[in-house]
Amino acid sequence: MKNDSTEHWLRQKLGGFQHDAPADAWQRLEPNLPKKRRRRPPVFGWNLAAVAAAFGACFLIFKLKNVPPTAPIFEQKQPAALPLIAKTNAESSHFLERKAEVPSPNAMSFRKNQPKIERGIWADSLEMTSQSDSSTPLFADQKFEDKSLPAQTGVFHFEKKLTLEKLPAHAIAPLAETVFRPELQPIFQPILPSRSSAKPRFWFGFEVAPAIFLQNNQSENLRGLAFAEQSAHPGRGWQAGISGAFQPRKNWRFALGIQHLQQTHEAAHTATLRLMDGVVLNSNDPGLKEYEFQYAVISGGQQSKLSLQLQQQDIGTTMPDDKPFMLDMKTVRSSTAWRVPLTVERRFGSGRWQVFLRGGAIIDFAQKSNLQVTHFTEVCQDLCFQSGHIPKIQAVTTTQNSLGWLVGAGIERRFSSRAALRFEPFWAGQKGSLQVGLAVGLLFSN
Amino acid sequence: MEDFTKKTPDLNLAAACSAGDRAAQRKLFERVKSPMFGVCLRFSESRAAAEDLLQEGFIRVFRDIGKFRGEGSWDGFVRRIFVRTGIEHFHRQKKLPEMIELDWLENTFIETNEDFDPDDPESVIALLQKLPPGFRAVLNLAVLEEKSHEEIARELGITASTSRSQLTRAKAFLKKIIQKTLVII
Repeated sequence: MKNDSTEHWLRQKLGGFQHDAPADAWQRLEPNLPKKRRRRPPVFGWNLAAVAAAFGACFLIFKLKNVPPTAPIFEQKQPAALPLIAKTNAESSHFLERKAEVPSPNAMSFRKNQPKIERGIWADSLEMTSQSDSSTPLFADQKFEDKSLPAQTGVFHFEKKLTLEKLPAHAIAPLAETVFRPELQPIFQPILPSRSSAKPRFWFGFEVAPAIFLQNNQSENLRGLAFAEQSAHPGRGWQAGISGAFQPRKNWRFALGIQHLQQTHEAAHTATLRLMDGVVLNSNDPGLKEYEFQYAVISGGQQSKLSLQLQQQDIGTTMPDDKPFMLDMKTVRSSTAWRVPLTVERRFGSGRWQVFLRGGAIIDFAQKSNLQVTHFTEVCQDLCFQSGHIPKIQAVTTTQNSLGWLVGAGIERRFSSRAALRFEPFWAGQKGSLQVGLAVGLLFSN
Repeated sequence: MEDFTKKTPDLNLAAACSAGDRAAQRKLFERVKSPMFGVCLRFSESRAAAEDLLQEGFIRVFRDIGKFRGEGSWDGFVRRIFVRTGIEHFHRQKKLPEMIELDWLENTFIETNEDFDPDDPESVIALLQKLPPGFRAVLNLAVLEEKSHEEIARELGITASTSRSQLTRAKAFLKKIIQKTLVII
């Protein structure tokens, strides 16, 4: 038999080989399968949707604030000297009498960086009114066309091209009391200076914040050892990161950042231990004995088993009895996370000191969490086993992505129009936990 | 027995399994358990170990089934996971022998498996399970999974030349076993 034939034989016998699985395979498998997951909205979908919505809203606000006012030119404040009467080509005899109102150069305060087109349009309007004779109204009406009068023709800011002509005073008389109801729509409107005409700005910043973490009690099942934590005191930690902000208007900012978050949380839990079994591992050794004890650990309504090897410290020490005893245990949980805050900020005031309010969403991305459980400190002492020996369980668990909220209020110190220092107490909440911190940040603008 | 390899991919079933639907998981389990138990037997040293591999493999399948995009067959998707589980079982054993006495293996096997039948797949599996883990892993991957020596080297953490050497030695061992068995019969 050649080697190739060995392969052929093996493939022939075992290719597609099937074997009946044990009858109880499913019953053994099912308890080990993860529990049915509740369908949750995908965090990344939320993330993208929130970013898109925030920046979409930001863009809309910015655009809306820069749209020219919809009021027609004659609704502007300062009246021109001329009455202007016009008629449309429509069949209805809608005469209008109005005062052409244009901004006055004295009444308007142009900003330094105002686009020149605004001045140009203002000048056009002024030119329109100044071409007329202030004592003679202008009419635009095909019926009353008088070829003997010099006509002034121009394109006004109306939907239709109109012919404006000087008409005699007697032609005006029937129209004198006509109420003006303009049906004419301006083709375009002048762009007037407004508060929002300032250019949008971008900010870039650094931030660092010490924080404390208030956390609800947790139940943990670690390596088959179940316990319920009672927070000993709030967790401590810090966060630091960078952020970018878009400022479409003077007092509004939309910020997106990324921060590194680290926290250490200590908790205590009390457990009842009952000695279930114990064996001497070195029974033939005349010296100090080593024991392996099986304990039932009851904590927070949960029961688990624990196997513990302990060494006798003193020959005179007896084995522990089987009476249940209470123990205080300690859990130290250190975790890090990457956090993405997406916030909207409203500032108040001007000058060197300004205050602001901030709110938005935060997304914490899954990170590893180091967990250390310290057990049996007391039993080690009480039973006089090896002194100073504190058995520990260390494990690495993985946290889930989570979505939360963030609110803050603070003050900002402006050093110039492009740099600021800010102090901000903030609150961040997630399911089962609340974080309080004080952020210090530096911001720079373009 | 149902031939699950002919089934068209069922993305709904995959989605239900991924969501933790027990009924769907049971359905998939029943569909593929027999061929996958065959894979586990091939990669393990005993039936008990194979049963453990079956458990471990299905846990991984249900964990990773959300990644199934229907681009291949159930067979390919599930089998890859089980083969991967078998390879990790090999790594846990960490007993890839560089030098092994084939004569000793032959004698030991024949003495303890007098009823070995080269035509019976069950006997062949029993033979495979007696092999050193390295031989078994290389035979499985090279002959039955038809992987290249470079792929095997990558999977097992050995060199390609070691893989070739192991395969040659494993095949030589099988050849001797079969020849001796036939003589004895």
